[in-house]
Amino acid sequence: MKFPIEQVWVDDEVRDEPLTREILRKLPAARILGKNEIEDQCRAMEMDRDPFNRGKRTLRLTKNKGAFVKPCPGTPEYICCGLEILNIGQGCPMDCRYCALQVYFNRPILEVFVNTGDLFSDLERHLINDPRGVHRICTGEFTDSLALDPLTGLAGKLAEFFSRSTNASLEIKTKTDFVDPLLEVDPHGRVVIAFSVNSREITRKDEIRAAPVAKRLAAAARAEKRGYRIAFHFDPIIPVPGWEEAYSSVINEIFTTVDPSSISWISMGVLRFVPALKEIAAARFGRIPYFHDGFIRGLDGKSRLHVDRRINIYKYMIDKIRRRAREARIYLCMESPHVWRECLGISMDSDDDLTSYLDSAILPYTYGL
Amino acid sequence: MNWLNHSTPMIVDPRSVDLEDRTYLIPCYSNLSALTKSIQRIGILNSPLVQQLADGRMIPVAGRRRLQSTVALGLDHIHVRLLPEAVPIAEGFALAFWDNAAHRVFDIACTAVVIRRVFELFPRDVAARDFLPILGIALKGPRLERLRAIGGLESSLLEAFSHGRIHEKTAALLCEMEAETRLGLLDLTEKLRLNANKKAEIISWLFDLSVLEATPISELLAREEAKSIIFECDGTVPERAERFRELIRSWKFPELIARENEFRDWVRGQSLLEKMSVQPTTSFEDPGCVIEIRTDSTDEAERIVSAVKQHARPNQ
Ligand code: SF4
Repeated sequence: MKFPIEQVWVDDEVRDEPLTREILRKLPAARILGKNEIEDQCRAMEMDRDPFNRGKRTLRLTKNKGAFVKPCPGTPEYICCGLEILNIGQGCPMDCRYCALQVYFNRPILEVFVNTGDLFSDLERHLINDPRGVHRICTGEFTDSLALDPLTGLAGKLAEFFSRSTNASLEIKTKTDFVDPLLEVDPHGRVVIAFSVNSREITRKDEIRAAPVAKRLAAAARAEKRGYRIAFHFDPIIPVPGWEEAYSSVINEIFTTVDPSSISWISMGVLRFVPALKEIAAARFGRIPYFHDGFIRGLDGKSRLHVDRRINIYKYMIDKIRRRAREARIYLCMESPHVWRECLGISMDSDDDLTSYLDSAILPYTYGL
Repeated sequence: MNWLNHSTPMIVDPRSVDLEDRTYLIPCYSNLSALTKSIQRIGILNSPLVQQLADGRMIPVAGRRRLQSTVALGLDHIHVRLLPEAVPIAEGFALAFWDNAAHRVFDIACTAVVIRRVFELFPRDVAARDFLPILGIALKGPRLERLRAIGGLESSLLEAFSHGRIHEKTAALLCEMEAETRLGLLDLTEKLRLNANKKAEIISWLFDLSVLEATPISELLAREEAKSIIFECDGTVPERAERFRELIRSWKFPELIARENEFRDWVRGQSLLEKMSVQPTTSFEDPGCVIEIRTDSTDEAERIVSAVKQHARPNQ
């Protein structure tokens, strides 16, 4: 296991879940805590100067009592992509300095929902009861899809499930290279392994404990070979001095490693953040220069760079990508129709437009199969 | 132990007490004049508490302002209670704290100083149990740390904070700067008579620029454009203040300011009627505009609406 887990908190109600036993077996050195000790630990964590540090070494095995599949919480001010989130847990053992999760969780431990029986039945019910078009479902919204997979082994089971599904595809989003267990499954093109990528400098300085870009790309090549569809997310793009060459070089490496025809989509999003993140990250890591750039309050209340600057950045990136893959399906994460038109020359006026645009990437592998 | 019971009454010359000593400081940034007048009229009801140190120095424990007033009044003797030298600093501070807490509400600047001192003198659990509840500050969360840092600022900054001339967030940012820089910034922004909101903007923009460009604020302010405003003798203070703010804003948001100027020129070129205005979307997020026309009556509004409809039709 790559990430150190020092404590495992086990909720009473999941003690006997098979996945609980499986995970505990794989963590012989961790301290296992029950209800009373957990409360003490929670208090201690609240007092901690940096609860994140401690939280990222603490794994809680718990039950998801709500729905497992939920629509992605987009924002009405910008165009969203109609993705659905399969909630497998929350928190992440990696520690990106720009990570938005730092603002959202006040008890920042890692949580895995071990009631996977409920997860699969909920998923099945969701796909049967809502047979509209195709579903694009992703596991990496409140966590990294694969970071805890060496413990849970869930990704392979999900890949198997989706490989049989005719109206859905799964997007596994990661900054790790933990794809090998997935290679045992033939995904029939219905599973997209998406790698979040960034410039080398940002990866090295800001994506603490994440796999280096080269390892992510090598994992992409292995997954491609096994028939997985591949995606890349340039998010957040952080325009520090020299960003043009830095991102160009990653783009070139991508296309040297993966065949453009295997890539379902490439997304891009220039760094944006809820204003509180700047101070939270500063308290944890010291002042990070890029958070002090000319951010202004965007329509959704998040801090964003001026639209002209975002447009220039996207245009640059798109040009570099198009030189290597003319037909690449590029999309912008949470941008306005104006930015879409300026950068990609596409009229993307509603969430439905973007949904169809991305659905078309997976249609040939679902109904079309 | 209640050390107060072990204090002894005596008479001292208030000028012999080191009023600059900060060992037991619980500051108060309000004006001394009312207290001075009261002492002049009726004298001192409760004797200040002082402590004599091994080196012979006399320092105030409680009643520092009473001592300051007597000095201001030119009195040469005053009744005090002398605390034994053996009293540990933490206990002396607790005495000062409770003496103050009993008769005044701590403002936020005083709270910051007290928090800082409490954490220097007591373990965290004692601070949490005995002091923070009285101060009304939660034991966890960023605010505690922020106030703790602010408590170490120079007294001119604390005074500005106490009087609302700088906001808490601004004070917290100033903590991250060199003493000379922050005192210089306070001086500059006060000379330009900027209110707390404008100070907050300018100081945070300068701080951002300094972090982003890895350049000291003093170097940013030494740029010709800034210097010419800071040291200029022409123009009123509000005019210079506005120009200074615009300059720093243009450094911080160059694209936005370029767009604003472009838009302003464009509006000027439209020769709009007096009753009309055109506004861009927030931060020019998209190229749309909002046209506003004030009318004197609904009839006039109706005429304008129908003219606009006529005009808009061919493009529909
Ligand atoms: S990998 Fe993703 S979820 Fe994990 S810390 Fe980084 S940004 Fe956050």
